[in-house]
Amino acid sequence: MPEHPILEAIRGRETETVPVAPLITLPHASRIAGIHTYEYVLDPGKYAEAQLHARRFYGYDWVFAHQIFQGLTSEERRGVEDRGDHFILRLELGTTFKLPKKGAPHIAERALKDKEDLASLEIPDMFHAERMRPIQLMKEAEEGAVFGNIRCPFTFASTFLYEPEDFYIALKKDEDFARELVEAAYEYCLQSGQAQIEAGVDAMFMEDPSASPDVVSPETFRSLAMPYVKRLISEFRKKVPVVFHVCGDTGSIIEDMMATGADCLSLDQCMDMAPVHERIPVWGNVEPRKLVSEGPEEIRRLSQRIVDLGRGVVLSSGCVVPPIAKPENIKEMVKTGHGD
Amino acid sequence: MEIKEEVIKGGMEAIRPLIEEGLKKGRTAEDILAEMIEGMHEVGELFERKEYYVPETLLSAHTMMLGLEMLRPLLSVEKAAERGRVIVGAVESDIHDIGLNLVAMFLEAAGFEIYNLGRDVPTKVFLEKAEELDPDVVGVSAMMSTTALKVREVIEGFEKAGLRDGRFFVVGGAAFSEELADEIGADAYAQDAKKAVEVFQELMKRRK
Repeated sequence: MPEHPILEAIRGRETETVPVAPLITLPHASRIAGIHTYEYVLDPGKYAEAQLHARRFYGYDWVFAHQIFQGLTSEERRGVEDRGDHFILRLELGTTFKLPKKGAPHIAERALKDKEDLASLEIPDMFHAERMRPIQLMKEAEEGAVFGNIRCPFTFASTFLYEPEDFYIALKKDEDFARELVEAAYEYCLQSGQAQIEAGVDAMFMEDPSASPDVVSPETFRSLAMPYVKRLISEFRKKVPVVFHVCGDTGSIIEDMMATGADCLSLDQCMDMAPVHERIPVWGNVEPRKLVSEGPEEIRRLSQRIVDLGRGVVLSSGCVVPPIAKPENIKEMVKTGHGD
Repeated sequence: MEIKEEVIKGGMEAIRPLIEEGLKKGRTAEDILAEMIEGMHEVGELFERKEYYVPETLLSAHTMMLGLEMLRPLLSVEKAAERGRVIVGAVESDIHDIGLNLVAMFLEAAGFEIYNLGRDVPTKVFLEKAEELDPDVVGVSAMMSTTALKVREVIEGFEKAGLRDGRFFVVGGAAFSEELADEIGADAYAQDAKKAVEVFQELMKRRK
């Protein structure tokens, strides 16, 4: 059976048309599917259905299993507390989410409160069948390549495990501890990725936004982010191709990003894709804000510039598609990529 | 200029003994504060030139705050109110507060009377605080496209409650641009903490 065109494109192979894969995650997918954001998080069936609905509605070329923790276990679901205008969800890892009944879900508490908690951190069983239920549903639908998702260890440590500001201070004052946090995050990411691959994802989309040169120095990226990204990629690539994304202006680390071993780099809208595309397949990078503010004509113009790069290109957004992006703009992206 | 140097390099352990020593030698709190502000100004420039990143800037800002805590009882409260009273916060559902905290610390260092409401602040809390404190400027941040529109909700909340007139709204955070700030009815946009100080100072001049 021939591979999905998007899997060919990220490996730099010829495809008939340019595959299109906007970064549609919870905010936009739940909106166009008409479901509450908390249902998207709590119900694996609704999460999978919303992603499949978005793919059908727009006709793009991937299904994005983007949820970092994928599905919830029965125990996690039983522990959900209804607090009137919001729910509280506590993951087995220890990270707690606030899920407003109207509005965007967000992390309420990190898994670790202070340094001492790290010793008692336990990585949950990421291979738990219920966690992989959404991926299973997406695969069963046979609607296109399903991409798993890993938030890389540096970002995972500074968002899920530890308070970001304290993490950044630790980088300067207690680097050994910061490294231990990233190591713990690495274990989570490795198991999560392996479980997603075992569940059948066709490729992996890895992202490391907190390691962006807009946030930390290229030296920090090289010493505390990249080594772990490299290890993960080398592990995952035994089975599936990998796309690697870092937000912001990544000009100062682009060589390092290429050296991670990723098959394809996903670039933020502020980056010029052309010079990178000469060296490696690229993914991106229509500005998400323009999907809200502009009309189809401008979106076609922006998309066409990316399509014109030729082989080894996936047309996408430079970052996550906003909830209120105009559907006609995303449809225009798809049409441009597919040569319609 | 040792105090300035410690602020620049984020010497959180060294700053207090140095300030104590300065005060013992007869320096005024205002004089020491001015030296710290000079340090923070340089930190802002280092950040702009991409020689400093978020961790380095945070460390300097925290060092400055440790120093400021020591000096605060010795500084005139009226002077801060004269420079401007400000409330800042990240909108409901937005938990990204590193930039917000930097803005608050930079503004405090620049002499503003600052009330940082923190992250995930519902519109009604912004309104309650505005009624209580009567700020000159309200700074609202949103990091994500999902929360940017909540900022409009905050501004509209102030309009409906009759609290919009006579005060400025400044917005910031990765979700924003000049255009979007304009579109949602804000008075100004500040892209980072150093810029925020300039913007807030400019707005206070307009007020006078």
